[in-house]
Amino acid sequence: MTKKFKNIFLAVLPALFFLGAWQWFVHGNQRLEFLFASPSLVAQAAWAEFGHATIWNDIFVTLGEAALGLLSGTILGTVAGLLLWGNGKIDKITRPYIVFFGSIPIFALAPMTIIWFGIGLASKVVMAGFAVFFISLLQAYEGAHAVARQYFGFARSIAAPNARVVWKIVVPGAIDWVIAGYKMNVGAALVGAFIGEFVSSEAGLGYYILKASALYDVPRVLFGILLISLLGIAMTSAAWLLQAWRKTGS
Amino acid sequence: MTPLLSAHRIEKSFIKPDGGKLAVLDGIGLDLFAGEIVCLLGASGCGKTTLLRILSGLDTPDAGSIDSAIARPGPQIGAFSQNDLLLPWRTTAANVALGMELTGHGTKQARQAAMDALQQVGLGGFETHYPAQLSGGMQQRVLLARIMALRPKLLFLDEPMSNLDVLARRDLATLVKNYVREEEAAALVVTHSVEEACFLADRILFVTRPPARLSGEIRLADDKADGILARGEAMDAVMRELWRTLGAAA
Repeated sequence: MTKKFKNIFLAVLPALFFLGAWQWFVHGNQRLEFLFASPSLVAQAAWAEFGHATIWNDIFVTLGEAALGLLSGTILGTVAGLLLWGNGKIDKITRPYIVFFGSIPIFALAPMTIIWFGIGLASKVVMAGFAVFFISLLQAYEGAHAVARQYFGFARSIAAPNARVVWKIVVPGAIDWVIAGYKMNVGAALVGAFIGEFVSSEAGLGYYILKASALYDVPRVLFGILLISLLGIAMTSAAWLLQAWRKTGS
Repeated sequence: MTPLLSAHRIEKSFIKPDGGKLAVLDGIGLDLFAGEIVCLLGASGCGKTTLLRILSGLDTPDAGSIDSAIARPGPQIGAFSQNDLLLPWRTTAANVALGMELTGHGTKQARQAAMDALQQVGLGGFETHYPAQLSGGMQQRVLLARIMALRPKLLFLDEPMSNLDVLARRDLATLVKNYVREEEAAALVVTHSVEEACFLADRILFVTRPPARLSGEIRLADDKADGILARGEAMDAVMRELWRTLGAAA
């Protein structure tokens, strides 16, 4: 228990030190406070904002966009990855296209998605989903290959039909890879949703930060950034739940 | 008595990276009779694993023929290799049931066969353990149970005792022997270990350095007790024959 406590203390220590130094650095200097805000000013802004319904709305809008994009991108990417693994012909034909589309910076797509899908939820989900799709595809593809290498010998020797091999070995075996991809993709999904909001939106944390920065309200900008990071942590912990559910006794 | 499998003049060569031919198997012929365990003993890299792949139907020979009433590959083939792995996300019982599930048996029937096979390898009570919770020797036995659950007639074992301590080796040898005798099956074991061969075999065939040919045969006396000591004396003769085989080809 004491060791656990000590570890928590050691983990929190750098943050405390940083916050303290920050507070001390800007203390009593209005110009510095204006430019860099301070932990206490951010806390004050947070306190004030949490009283309003709008910040909660912004949080849930961004969470919804990123989560829907993450989910749809992961599912579509995984299915596509398994498909490419299963069919060498499709794999060969689509490879250059995947590289082509995968190299498009998500930023460049934002204007088009707004034109095609409007300034509401749909365009942000598409942005987040696009940002997630390619890593999911690669993870499922690589995962299936690794599973095949490790576990196929037995299935081949008893002449098991392919459909059953895929269903009983490849799909469950690739799940770990998909979960790993999901963790990497949490950040990408948030970036996708956030950029969509930045380009054009009426709500969400991107919109909130954009609005605050237009007013040079540094504490609220920093508060918005903090909220996005917390969303990232919340979405990553969903992966921990998935992994806990899939126990292997190790 | 007709053999369960009869191979005639099997030849196999591979194309080297420089385009040249690498002859691996040079006219290997052997018979496997019901109720016997045959060991192929030779140096590492002499093509034993290639021969097993060909005999179990996973690869085709360049020349030669194989006669057997048993479908290869097929559910009556029990192939076991040192590289085989259990599925880490399945419990012991579910791992053993895998072969049954893959060959189209119902879940209930697969489950029952798995329970029986686990009893047979002495792992009753470990049904709900995951592979990560088992020792290396126990995992080998689960892999063996996975094969036995399908009641195969032909066992192809590729260095089944590597990584096992002496007690686990004795257990595994007893298991294989009992199975082969009771089920009227035949087992072909390939190994580079004199000890492993002496533990298991009724007959030992010696394999030359590549391109592999069979050079001699030693028949071991049937051991009624847990014959390690009786087999110890045979080891001398086997060792001498092995040196002669390897020396002759060098």
